[in-house]
Amino acid sequence: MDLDLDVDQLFGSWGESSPLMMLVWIIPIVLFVFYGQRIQLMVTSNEIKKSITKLGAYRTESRDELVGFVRERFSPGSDPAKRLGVFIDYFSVMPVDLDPAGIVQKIQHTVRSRDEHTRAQIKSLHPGMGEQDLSQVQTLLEIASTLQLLYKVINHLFLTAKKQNNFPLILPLQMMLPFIMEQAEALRDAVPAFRAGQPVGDGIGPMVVGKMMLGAEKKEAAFQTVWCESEYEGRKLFLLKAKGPMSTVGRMGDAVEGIASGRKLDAIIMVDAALKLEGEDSATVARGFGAAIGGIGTERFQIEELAAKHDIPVLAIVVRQSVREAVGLMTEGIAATARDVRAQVCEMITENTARGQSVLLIGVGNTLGVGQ
Amino acid sequence: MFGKKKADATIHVVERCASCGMEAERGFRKGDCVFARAAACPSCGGDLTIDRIFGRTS
Repeated sequence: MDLDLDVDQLFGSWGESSPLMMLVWIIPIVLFVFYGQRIQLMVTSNEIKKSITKLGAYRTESRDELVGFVRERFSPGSDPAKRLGVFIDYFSVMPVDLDPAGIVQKIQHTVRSRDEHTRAQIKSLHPGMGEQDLSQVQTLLEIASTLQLLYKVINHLFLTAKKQNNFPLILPLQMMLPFIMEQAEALRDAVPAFRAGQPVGDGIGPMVVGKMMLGAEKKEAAFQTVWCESEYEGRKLFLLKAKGPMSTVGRMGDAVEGIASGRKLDAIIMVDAALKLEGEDSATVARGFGAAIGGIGTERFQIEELAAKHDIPVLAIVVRQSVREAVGLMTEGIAATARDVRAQVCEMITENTARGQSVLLIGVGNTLGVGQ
Repeated sequence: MFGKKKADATIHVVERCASCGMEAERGFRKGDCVFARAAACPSCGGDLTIDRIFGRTS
């Protein structure tokens, strides 16, 4: 049999009929018209699946590190993994916000109840557990709990989108995932510093104020929060920070209310770490106005309420850093800014107050590895 | 995974003398914390305190 095939006729673009070339063009068009979304879903799904696998690994690692820390420090009789697993799964039901009046107190109550209950539960693992170890275990537990939650939520959204072949549902997930992964990686990388009790980037505020507190008599201002009195160029200073070197941010709202009751404050200056924008240099110092304090918002609410009620100006000085730097081991650049920030704080005090006036200076942030 | 990060950043402790301002750098030891008293200053006999603890990435 003689197959008289002309290759030029099959693939050539000059002829009137080139069936194979027509197929080469038409098949993908048909494929993409009818299955384009599904193909895109498959590609995106693979990317998300890889991220979920990573999140799962972070979750397991942080849990193992927590269990390892408890075993190493306290060698408890029974295996702590099961009990710690229960603590990791704790959840909080936030108060209903249909009627927002008084919601801040309700949120604060919920958060503090959880905090106190978790602390009591951790302490029950080993009766001899000191405050320092307890604070470190609590922070490691928070990290493991957050990573667990991130993994569960992302996995849930992904599986729901896959189950329903719901492409629009997977798109926001794909867009948000790089930000979530950045946070998750930052938390995972922070674990060694929290295990070893080393200062983190967020500790720059307590580090600045802690040095100014050295040698003075420290008093308890609120739970895990200390303050002392000092003087600078004829101004009375009230210095406030979380009680170091524990892993805690203290209770600044309560402490400020306590210090302000019965005393006249002429200015409040808050020193804190702030998240930098992309393109901004890390460890740069910036000044501003308003209560520079993160968290769920209840502490900021308390300070703002008090400042507004007594007409006290609130000034802020922040050290800019990335999420990774803020939660992880303090970098050389951030540590080096402490002296400059202290100088700027002194400048702020003299610029904004007169002799004989009083200033409340607050070092905001986690004071792990930073004394006073 | 955690070990990998540790290998990247080495942890340094800077001790500073409050009297003469002398600074000395060393590695991190368990229990170190910022502003803790370290030892007597080798140059003036004053108090050496830990001035800062940080990670340096090579």
